[in-house]
Amino acid sequence: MSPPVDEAVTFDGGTAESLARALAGPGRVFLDTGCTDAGAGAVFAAADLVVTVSTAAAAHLDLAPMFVEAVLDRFPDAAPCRKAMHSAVQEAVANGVVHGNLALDGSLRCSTTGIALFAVAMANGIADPRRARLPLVLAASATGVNGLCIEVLDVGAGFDWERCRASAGTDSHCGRGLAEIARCCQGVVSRDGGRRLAMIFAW
Amino acid sequence: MEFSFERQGDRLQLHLSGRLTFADAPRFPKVLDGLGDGLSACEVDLGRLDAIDSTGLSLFVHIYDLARAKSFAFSLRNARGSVRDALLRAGFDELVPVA
Repeated sequence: MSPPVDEAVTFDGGTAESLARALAGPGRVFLDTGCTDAGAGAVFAAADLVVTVSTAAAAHLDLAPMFVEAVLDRFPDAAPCRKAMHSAVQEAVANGVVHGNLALDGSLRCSTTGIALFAVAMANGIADPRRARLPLVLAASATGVNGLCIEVLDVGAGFDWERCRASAGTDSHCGRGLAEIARCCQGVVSRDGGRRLAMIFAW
Repeated sequence: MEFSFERQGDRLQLHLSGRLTFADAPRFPKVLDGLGDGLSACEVDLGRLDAIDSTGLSLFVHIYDLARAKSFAFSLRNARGSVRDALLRAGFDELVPVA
C-alpha cells in the first residue's frame, strides 16, 4: 500500500470550511497544507481515515468533532460510541497540542498566576511557526467486526502515560484528560514514548 | 467559546456559549479578571454552552478557588447534555451547586 501522503486530499487548515468540505468527500487521507511534515501520517498507511493537521489548525478548528463525525460517516454502525468518541478524541487532541507539539507545562494551570503564564505560553506557541506548523495526525482503523481504533499522534517529546493516567481529584486544575479517555474507551494504548495514543471503541 | 458578564450590585452572572475547550485557555485570565472584586455571588450560566473538555472544566476550578479566597458564593446553572454529563462525571456537584 502506498504511503498516505501520495493520495492525500489537501485542505487549508486556516478555515473550518476547507476541512469540512474535504472530509465530506470520499477521500481516505487528508493533509493540511500548513504542516511542515507532510509525511507524518505515513505510519498510518493501512488506516481507513487519516487526517494530518497543523498544530495551529488543531487549536483553532473544532477538529475533534469534525474528525469524529467523519469517522461516523464512514462507519455508521459505530454511532453508539458517538458521545464517547467525541469526548476521548477531544482530550487526545488537547494532549497532543498542549503537552505534545507545544510542549507546554500543564502544571502551570494549577494556580491563578500560573494560568496567566500558561495562557501567554500557549498563545506564543501557536504564534511561533516552528511549533504552529508541526503536524498532529488523527487516524481511524476498523478492528474486527464491531470495533474501531482511533489514534492521535503528535511529534512532541512524549510523556509517561502510566504515571499520568491516575485520575485527578474533583478540585484539581489538571490531570482529568487521560482519566476521561480511559473512561470513554474499551482500551487505551500509549506508543512511541507517549506520542501516539491508540483508543479502542467497540459496540 | 464566547463569554459575557452581567453584574447587578454585588452579584455577577457569567454567560458562556459555544464550546469551552483547551483552545480557550489563553482567554481564561480575561474571564477570571472579569469577575472583579466585592462579589457576594457568581452564577455561571451554561445554558448556551454546547461542549466542554477537561481544560474547560479547569476554568470552573479556578473560579471555585477565587470564590473560596474572596468568600463569594459560586454556582453553575442551566447545564445540559454533554456539559451536564461532564460536570457530574468530574464530581463538580460535590464542590458547588449544579442546577
